[in-house]
Formats: sequence, structure tokens, C-alpha cells
Amino acid sequence: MRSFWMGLLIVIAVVVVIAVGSSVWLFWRINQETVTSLVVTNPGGRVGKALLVYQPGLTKFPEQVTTAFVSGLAAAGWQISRTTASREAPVPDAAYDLIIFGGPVYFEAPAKPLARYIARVGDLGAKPVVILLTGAGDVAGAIAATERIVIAAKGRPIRSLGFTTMKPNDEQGKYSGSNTERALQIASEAGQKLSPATQ
Amino acid sequence: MVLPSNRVALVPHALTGLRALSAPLLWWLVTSLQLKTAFLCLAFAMVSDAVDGPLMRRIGTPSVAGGYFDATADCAVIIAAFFAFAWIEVYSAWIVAFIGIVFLVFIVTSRLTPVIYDPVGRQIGGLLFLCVGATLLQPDFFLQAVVLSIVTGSLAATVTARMVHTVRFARLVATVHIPNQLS
Repeated sequence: MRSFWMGLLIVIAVVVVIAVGSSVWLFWRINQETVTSLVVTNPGGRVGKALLVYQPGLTKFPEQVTTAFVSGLAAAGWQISRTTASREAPVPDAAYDLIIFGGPVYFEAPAKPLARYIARVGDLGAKPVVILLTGAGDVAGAIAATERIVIAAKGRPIRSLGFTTMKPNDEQGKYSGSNTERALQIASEAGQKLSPATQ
Repeated sequence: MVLPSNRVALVPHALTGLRALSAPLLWWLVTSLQLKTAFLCLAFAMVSDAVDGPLMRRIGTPSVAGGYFDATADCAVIIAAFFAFAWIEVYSAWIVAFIGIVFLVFIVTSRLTPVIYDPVGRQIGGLLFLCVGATLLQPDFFLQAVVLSIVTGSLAATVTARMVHTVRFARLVATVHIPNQLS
């Protein structure tokens, strides 16, 4: 019986140390801005110019969804300038016809660096905005919060897309593959279909 | 209806067997994203894990084979859950391999020492059940990253504890002859 309590104590000590340590580090990590250079996809695109500002997540899923959406936009003829949300990211000026904000959802809210970027820009000049969020579970609350942030920054949300790893993305069964593969197909198709709505 | 005493003694084994059988069901429920039902399946596995040992000591005959059966059923449920999470791309596949390696280390080291009871490993098994439950109940990228850290750290801790225990026993055998369970 003594070894049982000793085992329990050891496990509790190990778990507390790991849980506290990893939580502190991860919390710092998700609030950190990631600085990347501006990458232009489909520079010859004639449909319009889009600026995509996103926050990479702790998993590869947000990046994969963003890439799928960009490939759809490029296929539809858009020129897309893509960068991460930071103080180094460009301000969406008159050169852009469309703004896309993307990133992961933590605690049912959009990633802090993305929200800070939108607040810092302040005035999106009534430009059309697409919101592209990814989460493990329900993303509806985070989408609503992001839409409020965009409207407060004088942006015009025209499409909000949410994708998850643990809730069905394709409830009608229109696409094939795993839940995440379906998310990528939907994101790509949404990118392709976007052009007429924003012109 | 009153069961004969020799049949009553089989109840703890039946519970352990049902827990082992719940592993493929849990995998299927998670991969088809039926998370609430998957949690109920996990809850059954946790309750059966909590009661089969005390029941065995009360109405059955504890045995080495029964101990291995219990540990194997726990491992089957945990591996099925993490394999399903890897399948739906919540956790990486390496964590499934790590759990399998830790279980193999437990089997090998328990054959080398006279007792299979592992106080740290037993608690880690319970902790892994809780980690699966947290992943099912609260889907969130942040929580999943914390759970992954806890699972990795606790598995490393249990492997280390088993190694230390085995090395200590081997040193003891080198100085005083102690028969192990194989002899």
C-alpha cells in the first residue's frame, strides 16, 4: 500500500511539473508573433490582388488549410501576397482588392497575434475580408469574435470559413477522404469560388 | 439468479475482457468523430479498470496471468485511443509507437523481476486514460499540446522507473540469489 501512495505521489509531481512547464511555454508560444517575408503566389494573376495575413499554429492544420485556400484563389486567377501576422507585416493598402485573415482558434478565440494585427491596422478601408479559422472543436464563437474585430476595424466580412479536426467538416458527404482532407478540399474550392463575389 | 461461486470468480476477468473488447469500439467511435459516445466507452473502460482488481482480490484468485491480462487490456484501450487520434490527425503517430514501446519495456522488465506490480506504471495508465478523456471532452489545440507534453513526459518517467527498478533488482541478484518468477 505504501508503494501505491509513493507511485501516486511521483506521478502527481511529474504531471504537475510537466503540465505547468508546458502550459507556460505554450501560452508564451501562441502569443508570440511569427515574422516571415511576403510571399507572392501567382504574380501574373489578373482577377485581383489579395493580401493574406495569418498566424501559424501549434499544429500543421492551420497552415495546410491556408495553403489550400491560396491554391484555390490562385487557380481562380488571383495574385496572393501571403505573410504572417506581426509588426513587420504590410498594412493592407489601396493596392489590395481582398484581405484574408487566417489562423488557429485557442480557447474559442482567434489567435492573439492576428487580433493584435487587425487592431493595429485600425482601418481596413471597408475592403472585403475573408476569415479563415481552424480549430480542434467548435469554431463558431471564434468566427463571430473575429468578425466583430474586423467590423471594428472598418472591414467588410464577406465570407467566414471554419475548419476543425474533431468535428465533421463535410456533413453532407460531398467530398472524400479523411476529415482534414475534406477540409482542404472545401478550403480550395472556397478559394476558387470567391472571385465573383468580391468583384 | 445466483451464480455458482466458480462463475462469480470469473466476473473480474469478464470485466477485463470487456475492457479489451471496448478498444476497437473506441477506435471506431473516435475516427467517426462520435466524441461523446467515445467518452462513454472510455468511461466504461476506466470504471472496469478501477473495479476489476479489487473484485479479483475479493472474490477471485489473483494470478500473474490475470495481472498481465489487466495490463494488456489497459494498453489496448490506450493504444486504440491514441491510434484513433493519430488517424484523425490530432496527435502524431509516434506517440502510439512510444506507448507500444513502453508497454514492451513493462512486459520484458516484469519477466526479469519477481513482481509485476508497478506502482508508477499503474498510475501512468490511469493518467493516460484521463488524457484521452480530456482530449475527447475539450477539443482545443492548446489543451492537446499540453496533453501531448504530459503523455510524453509521463511515458518517459515510467520507462525510467522500470529501468531503475530492473537495474536495482539485477544488482541485488548479483549479490544475493533471489529466484525470479521464471525459475
